[in-house]
Amino acid sequence: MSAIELAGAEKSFGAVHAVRPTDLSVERGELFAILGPSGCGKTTMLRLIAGFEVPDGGTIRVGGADMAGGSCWVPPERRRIGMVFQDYALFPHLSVADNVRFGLREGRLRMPWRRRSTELTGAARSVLELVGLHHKAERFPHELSGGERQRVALARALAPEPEVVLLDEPFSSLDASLRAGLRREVELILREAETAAIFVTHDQEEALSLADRIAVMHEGSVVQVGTPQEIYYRPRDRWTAQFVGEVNLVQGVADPVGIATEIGFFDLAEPAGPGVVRVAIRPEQLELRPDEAGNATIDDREFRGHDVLYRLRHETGGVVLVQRPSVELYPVGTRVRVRPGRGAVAPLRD
Amino acid sequence: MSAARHAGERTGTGPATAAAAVVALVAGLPLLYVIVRAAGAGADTWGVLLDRRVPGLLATTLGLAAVVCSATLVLGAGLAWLTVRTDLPGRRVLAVLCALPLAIPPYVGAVIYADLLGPRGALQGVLEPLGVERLPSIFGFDGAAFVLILFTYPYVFLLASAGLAGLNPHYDEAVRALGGGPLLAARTAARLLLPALASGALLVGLYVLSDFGAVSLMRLDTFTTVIYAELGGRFDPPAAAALSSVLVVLTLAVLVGGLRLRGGGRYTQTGAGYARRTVRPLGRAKWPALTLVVLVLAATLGVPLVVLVGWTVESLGDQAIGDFGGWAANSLLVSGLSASVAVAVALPVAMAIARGSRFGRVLGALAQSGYALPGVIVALAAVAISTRFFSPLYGTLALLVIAFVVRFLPQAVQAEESGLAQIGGNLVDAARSLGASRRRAFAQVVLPLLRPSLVAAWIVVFLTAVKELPATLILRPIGFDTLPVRVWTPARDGLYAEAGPAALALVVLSALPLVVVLLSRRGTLLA
Amino acid sequence: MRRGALLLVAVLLAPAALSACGGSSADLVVYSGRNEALFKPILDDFAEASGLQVSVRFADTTDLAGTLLEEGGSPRADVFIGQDAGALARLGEKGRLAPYDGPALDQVPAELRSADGTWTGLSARVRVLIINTEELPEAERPESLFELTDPKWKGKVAAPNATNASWIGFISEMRLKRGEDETRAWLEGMKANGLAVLGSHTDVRNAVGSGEFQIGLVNHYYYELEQREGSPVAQVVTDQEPGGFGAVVNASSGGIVKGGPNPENAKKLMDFLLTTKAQEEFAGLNFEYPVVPGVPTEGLAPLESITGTGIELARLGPQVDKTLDLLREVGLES
Repeated sequence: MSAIELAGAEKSFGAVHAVRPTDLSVERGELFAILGPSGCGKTTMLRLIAGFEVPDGGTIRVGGADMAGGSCWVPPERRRIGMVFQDYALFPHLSVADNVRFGLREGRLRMPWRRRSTELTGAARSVLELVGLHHKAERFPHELSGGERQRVALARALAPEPEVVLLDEPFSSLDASLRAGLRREVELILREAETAAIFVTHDQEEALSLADRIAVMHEGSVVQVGTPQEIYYRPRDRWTAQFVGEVNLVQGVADPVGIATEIGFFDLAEPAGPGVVRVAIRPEQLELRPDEAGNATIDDREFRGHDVLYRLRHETGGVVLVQRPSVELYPVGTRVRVRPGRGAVAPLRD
Repeated sequence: MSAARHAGERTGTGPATAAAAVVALVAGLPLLYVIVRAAGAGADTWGVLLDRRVPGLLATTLGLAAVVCSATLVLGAGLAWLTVRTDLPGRRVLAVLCALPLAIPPYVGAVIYADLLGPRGALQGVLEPLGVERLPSIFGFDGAAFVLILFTYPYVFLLASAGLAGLNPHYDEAVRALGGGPLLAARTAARLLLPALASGALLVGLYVLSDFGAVSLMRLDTFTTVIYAELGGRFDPPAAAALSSVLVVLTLAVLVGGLRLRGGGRYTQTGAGYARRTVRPLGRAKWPALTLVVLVLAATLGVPLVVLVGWTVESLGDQAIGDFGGWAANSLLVSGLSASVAVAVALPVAMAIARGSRFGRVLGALAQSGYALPGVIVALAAVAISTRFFSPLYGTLALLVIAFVVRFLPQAVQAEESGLAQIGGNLVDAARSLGASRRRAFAQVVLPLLRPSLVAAWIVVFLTAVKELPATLILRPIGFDTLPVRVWTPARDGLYAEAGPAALALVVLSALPLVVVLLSRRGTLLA
Repeated sequence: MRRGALLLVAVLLAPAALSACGGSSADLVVYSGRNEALFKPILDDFAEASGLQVSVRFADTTDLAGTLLEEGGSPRADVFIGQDAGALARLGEKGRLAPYDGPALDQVPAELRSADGTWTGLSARVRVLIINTEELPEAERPESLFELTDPKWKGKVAAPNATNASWIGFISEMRLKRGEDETRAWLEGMKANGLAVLGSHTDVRNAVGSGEFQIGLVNHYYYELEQREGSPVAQVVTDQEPGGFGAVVNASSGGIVKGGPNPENAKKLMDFLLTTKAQEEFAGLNFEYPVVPGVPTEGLAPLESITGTGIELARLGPQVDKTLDLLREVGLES
């Protein structure tokens, strides 16, 4: 039984088709990313799953139970979902402990004017220990740093042991320098909690590094679902290929073995052709070496610390992006020979 | 479309909207009554009025509003700038003092200055030996304007101060870095402050239109005094309704115009907020500026307090303390009740508005029509409607409370609505994602966060209700006198000193919550 | 949440509960258009003598009359006391008064009470001019009301608020005797001459007494009160020449409200007000003319020596509305 199942779920706002009919499933314990640019409908998708939007069609199931679809409608408070909002939405008038307790039985009984500080026990305690903030249980949200607030939001969402945790752009409001470390932490927390998680993001690095599977969304439709490697090395169309990272879109002639392009001959990840086929070649799948008699010139280079991205002008006139370890540093203007490197390339469907 | 901008968009629900509709209906009755009654007034009555009375009253009333608005803008904004943005010595204390005259109702100011500057007054007494036979009359347009300016400028002052305090000081520096002189900086600041200034001027303008006590004591005929007089002798007179309808149209015009000038939407704070504030050195202008401020405070606080205390001491022997305690208790009772009811009843309306639907906005406008209805008119409608349809209600305290609530509901609605707007939209969603029903989310998340706004709303309604005069005069139960009534009644007979104790008590009663609010961290009560 | 709801309900119900307390627990409810300072002592005497709890509403006569009319079939008051007879006459005409017949009623002159016994005058007063003697030497004082529209009096004359019942009675008599057009002309002339409309008669007498105005249009006893306070004032009874307009004589009046809650106590009050004792108080405290003969008046010119306008007070009742209309037309209604 999947944690989440969408079948034909769709949602429009007036004339805008925010989410086109979509089939999706997320397995228990899986870290699932919905990746796409702003306005592609990913947040709406999340809100459909959470129950904050009513789908215009299709069905939604959480933990195997029908939540929406046909004549069925379950409001958000009765779905077993937890949510972490982009701004964390911590209750400013409640302490960390009370925030976490809110979704638990003990939080239900709490009257806003009674300020009893009870001991931290049970699920509240364990989840705060999980995120490493049980020593700040009596603090208030405004006393915490951004990363700490995020962790409290996560703890609060996890405490009632939901089927799935939904995260809306969870890292976008954090300092860039902290992001990588916090991503790791969140991943560890989620894995240890063994809770399925769906997070929505426009940052492909985030999706690629965190997710077990990614659904790429574009203008309301899910264009591809797969593992990070599949999405990255085997994008189905040009748009996805370009969205997920830098890419060379190259045409060539395919045969059962591989594809011949002006750069050279590449193995194909999937059969294609025969005939003219377009492929996506990642910059790191190419090699280059300085060669007076080479087939390209370095037009521009971008030193990125651990690697360098070269923008080459091929003798045929096209632009080729090549990424090499930064120790292979050559000056702009160098004539080089660019060749296929390792790995098969994916044919594009469009 | 998807995520909520603020909690208000999430909290409006069926029962709340229904409640809001009921409230809006009751609150809209006076307006409806005025329209119906005025329409039925007959061509003769309208003819006489339009021909003879209305032009003069329009000229007087509009003229008064224009003069008072302009003067309070200059005075209020100027004082705000001096106490917020310059190095005026003692400016923090002065800032609180400059707002205090809000506790002195203009009609109390009228009593004081009518006596002091009147032909039988202290100033005349002082100047007589010097050979000044007769001072120019304090009464009439000039006196009314003078008193209104002195005691309504705090509205502008408070809003301008809040605006200046929140104004990003970097604007000032940026303008000057670009080569603009102080005048350009001032103009830029003024333009950025426009919403706050427009709000202040709007409040003052609406107040002047609805004022009854001050203008009647200053013997100036405006719409309110004439309507009040028309009520004499024949309740539900067509003429009073006709004049009321003109006043309502006038008030609505000012309201709409003012809101448009203000830019419609709420003035929200952008930018960092707590940047270090630049302070302009006044240099040689420091002492003249300080003198000016002190003079203003003397006129609006010092003189009134001295006079009132003097009168109180003088009358202490004559007036029975028991009576006096009764009046004060009555004031507290009716104002406290009105404030509580208004705050409770305003909540569904605020929620309906915050929801953002068109229906909600219509409900909101109807519920807030009390803004455009001076006290006299609300009382007129209350009498007519209650004697016709709810006769047990007539002459009771309940009717007075209802009239007060209708009149002051808009203030409560505004305070609560802006409070709702400041609560993050995701909070309600977050609560629901954690299993809380809409009701629990409201009770455990929204209400606690709304509490400061509810308190602010209560205080604002209380402060305004405690000073109310015309509706009280008309609707109060037999023997139920409030402090404003005991100020106005002797003053009307020229027995100014007798008004002293009630006036002093009124000022003290108004000042206490005001001081509390001013000194609290979150600042102005007109947010 | 429940607690909040309870609080809300309590708050909302409180007014309803209080409305129950709106009812009066007094033995007698009086609507008095007469000035509190002048009338309350007499009511206090009555309360002491009768042992009854009296609840009084002091307000403008015309306001109170309107309220009573509006209360319709279930009036809140037992006795209506007005500053002039016109208000009572009007109430009687509209059927709001119950007939009163007391021991002293026959002694009241017929022109000072109603024919059908619904109201009676309680104390008579004459409209006079109160003059500030320091500002206005005897030779220059006017002798007729109609002189006051002359430009030499511009800004020097004060009158009470136009809704004042005595003022309305005064204008009504002018209309009855001199006609609508002449009255309108006089009013417009007075307005053009800067007639100062003050709050009440007390205000007018104080203003003239202090010299703020030279002339005030008041009831005679206000002159007496002002003079006894030591102000330099004199009084002029106008238009006394044969064939002249005459001085307006009016009477503060009272009547029993039809359908009031305590009719027996109402009669007791009316009886009391016509007793020699009460009449003496009217004369002694307030310097008004008693309506019951044989009560001494201190230092007042005898009422018979003053030439009145000859208009019976009962005729004033139907005139009230029309007088108010005229006042509104001229722009003097407030």
